Amino acid sequence: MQQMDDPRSFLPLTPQQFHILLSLTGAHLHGYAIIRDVEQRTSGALRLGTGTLYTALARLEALALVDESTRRAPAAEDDDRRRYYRITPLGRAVLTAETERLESLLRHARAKGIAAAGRPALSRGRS
Amino acid sequence: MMHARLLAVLVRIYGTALLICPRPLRDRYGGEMRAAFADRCDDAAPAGIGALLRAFARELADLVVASIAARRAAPAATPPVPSPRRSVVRSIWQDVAYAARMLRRQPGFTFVAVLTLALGIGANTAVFTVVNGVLLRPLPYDDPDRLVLLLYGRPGRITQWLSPLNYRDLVGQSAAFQDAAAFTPVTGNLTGAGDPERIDGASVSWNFFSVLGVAMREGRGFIEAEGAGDGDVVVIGDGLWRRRFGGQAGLIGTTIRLDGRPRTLVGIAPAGVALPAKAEFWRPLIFTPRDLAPRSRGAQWISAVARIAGGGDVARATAAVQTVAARLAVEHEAINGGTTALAMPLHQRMVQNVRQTLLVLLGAVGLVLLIACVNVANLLLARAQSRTREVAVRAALGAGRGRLVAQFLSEAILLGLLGGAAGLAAAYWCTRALVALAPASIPRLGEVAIDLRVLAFTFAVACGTSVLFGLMPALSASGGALARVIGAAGRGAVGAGASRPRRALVVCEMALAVMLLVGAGLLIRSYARLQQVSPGFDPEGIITFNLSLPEAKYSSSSSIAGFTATLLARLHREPGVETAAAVFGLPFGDLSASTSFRNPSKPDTPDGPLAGMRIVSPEYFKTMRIPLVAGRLLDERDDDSAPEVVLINQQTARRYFAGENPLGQQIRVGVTLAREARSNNKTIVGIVGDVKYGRLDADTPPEIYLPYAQHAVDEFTIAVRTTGDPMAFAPALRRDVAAIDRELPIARIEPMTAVVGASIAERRFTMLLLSAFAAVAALLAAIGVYGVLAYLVSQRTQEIGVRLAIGAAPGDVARLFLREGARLTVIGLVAGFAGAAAAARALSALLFGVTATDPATFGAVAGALVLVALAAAYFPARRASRVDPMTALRTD
Repeated sequence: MQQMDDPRSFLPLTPQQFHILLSLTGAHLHGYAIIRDVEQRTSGALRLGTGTLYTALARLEALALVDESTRRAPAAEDDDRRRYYRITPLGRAVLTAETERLESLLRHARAKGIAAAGRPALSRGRS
Repeated sequence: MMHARLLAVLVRIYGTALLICPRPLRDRYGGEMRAAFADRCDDAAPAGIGALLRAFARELADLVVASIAARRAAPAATPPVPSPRRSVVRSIWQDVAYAARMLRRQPGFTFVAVLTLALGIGANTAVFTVVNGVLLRPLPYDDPDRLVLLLYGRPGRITQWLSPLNYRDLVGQSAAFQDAAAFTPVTGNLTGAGDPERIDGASVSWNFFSVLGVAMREGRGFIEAEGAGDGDVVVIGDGLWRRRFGGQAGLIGTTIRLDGRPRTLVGIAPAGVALPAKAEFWRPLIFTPRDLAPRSRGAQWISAVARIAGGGDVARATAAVQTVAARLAVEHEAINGGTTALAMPLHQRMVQNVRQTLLVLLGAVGLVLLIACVNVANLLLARAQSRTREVAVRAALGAGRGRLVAQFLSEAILLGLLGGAAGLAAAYWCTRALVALAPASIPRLGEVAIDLRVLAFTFAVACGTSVLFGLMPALSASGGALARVIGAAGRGAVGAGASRPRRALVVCEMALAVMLLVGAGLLIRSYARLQQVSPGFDPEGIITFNLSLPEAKYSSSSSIAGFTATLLARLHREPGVETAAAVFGLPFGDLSASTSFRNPSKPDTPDGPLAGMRIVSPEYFKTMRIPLVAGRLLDERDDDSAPEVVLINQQTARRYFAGENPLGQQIRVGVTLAREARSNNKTIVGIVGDVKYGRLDADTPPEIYLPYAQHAVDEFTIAVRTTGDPMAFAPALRRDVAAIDRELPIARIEPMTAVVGASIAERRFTMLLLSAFAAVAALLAAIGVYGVLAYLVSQRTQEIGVRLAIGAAPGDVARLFLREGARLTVIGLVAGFAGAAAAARALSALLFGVTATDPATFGAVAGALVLVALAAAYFPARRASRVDPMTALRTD
């Protein structure tokens, strides 16, 4: 449905969406694997609940930023109920655009002499 | 195992909770979400059940929040004309959200209701879980209903002890049994890696495990050759395996040292196998020719467990052994005369002593659940009445009956769910606390695990109450008569009839609370009476410990007596030690024996005198402060070469030497415990004071005391009287024992006061638990009274204003409401006393020194409840007396 037109029309992303796209960059993961990946990357600061993950995932899938992967895990670890997800080219473009947006925000803030204190804003999520 | 079951339940709950998700999300991702949730739980489970429940709560909360967010975002995607189905789902969702808001807006109400439900659910699940684990759950043996213990003896003295010959004949000559095995408790000193340890175990027939039908955890049971003395082998229990050997695999075939003797480990029994109770190892039982000699027919020291043959039952098995016992009584008249036998289901025998206690607790906690439900009903009714107007207005604005019902239903269900969730946590902690606090005398506690069916049942009861009473306002208000309700509300009074159900509920609560208070009161008085009973000795300042000398090292009487004499001498030299004595058969201890005895100058009768047998060193009476009544005490001269002597207690003198002077008379004792003891006639040289033995609440049995020097037993207790805190001497005592034998373990080192205390620990447990239940009940009843009166005051503010305006004194107004509180209390008391008088009969077996209708207890309960109720009534009454007439008249 979505034309691969302007990735910037999808911005801004929520922190959860951002992290999910980040997790799927370079890996095809199932739901709980995404939760764990995000948790590890943020050292436990962002712990996605199952409900939060799937509502975000549903949104991303509806926007065609991710889609279902045909790749399966090795048979031994596989589970019928699990689906694997991957990032689409559009999703990758949106992720890049969001990163640029955030960087420019940071540049503006630093230009005013505001330095990061405490935890990075992105990882401050509801647990 | 419990985790796995809990996990399955949690996943199922989560699956149900998914219904609150928007349908498209659920259809597309439901299965995955369940799988991801299960993964999350799997990850949390190893950190313990607390972590698991936390993860569960977090996931549920997340689901609710995410669903709300999804619905907010959803309208854009919703088709313009919603399908009827979709609108139903949405209206349910609205109801739930509205209900959540309502509950949050009245945190006081929500808190009390949820707390009440949680208490009811938690306490019930915990108690029922214990009752289920101990009383109801089948034993971990194959087809356990067919297992029986053989009981034997003269009527009134039937015990589980048999002589090997009687065992052989009872089992061999009746066709009722498929198979049978003998066992007898023993203790062993386990040495080797780690500290020496004294452990309980049993000598058992080689086929013991196959009679029980136990599948070994590892290895095997015994084989026939081992029952004949081939090879030193041993089977250990799961608990010992984990505790001592770290649950390590590949131990079968290795050697462990028991009593200084190497034994080959052939099997590890699964958890839960505990016959006899507390046994942690089993070794083959081998009868010596002496055990099977005709004159040993009277030596009763083994127990028998038998499996009833297919098609038989307990009654038929009892009939069969009775027939054999009758025949044996005739054939061996001198020893077996007058005896009988019976078969008792193994499980029944195990729980015989705690059954009554547990059933009383179950009844009590059932009352607590009832009170909790009544209280919640009461709270909901109060709320319903205060919302009559809201309902009426909504109905007038066009809300259909269905919508109103649905809305109240969702509030009630939400409340029930919250209470249930809190109840789950409460049940978990209550069960843990109960198992931790329970006295050691309750068998099978190690097997107790939360019972999910019980949890589900109590949960359903609590939710049912909540739904039933939560729906009342919707049903009555939607029944019509809107104008009446709105009109009445407009005048600020709802009519007297509206509070009638609430008063009835308060009276119920009061009555139930009275029943619990009376029960608790009776137990408290019993306990107090019991503590006043003098045991016949002075337990203060005494420290005791048990020793068991291994046969391999101490094979002769002289070596045993030598060890004990050396030890007592060393202990005596310790500063702060007054006296030290050795005793077999310490009061309230775990070693005991009894024996028949007879007067050799009188004809032998089968129903001859029977007495508890104590073997003591000379200092024993001084150590325990047991008084001498007549004659002399034992002293150093009564050694192995001196003439045999014996002391008796007053009870023996009264019962068997009535009207004679027992001093100087001779008796012959039927049983010898020491290996090389002489068993000639013994002269009675003294009479000592009566001492309570097994229980404070039983009469003192006849006892005889034999001198240790003449009966050197290898298993005994050392009692030491000290001048200070007895436990402070423990290190010194350990040092003294180790100085003589470094490999000898010390068991049960504890003050004598604790030994006596353990005998009433079960009563204490019941009393404390019932008191806690009663306190909760009284508190809930007080909340009930307070709630009703506060409601009446708020409903009658206008009337009070009028009364005050036309000259009533504030005191009169306060008295009006106090009188109402008193009326409810008195009705509740009367109903409760009737119930208590009926229920107290169930308690009578647990009482001591008070009757089930003890007037003092009933009086105290009445006084306490009246005080609590008046305190609860005081605050609403005071508020009534302070109503400002002008404000009251102005309110609509």
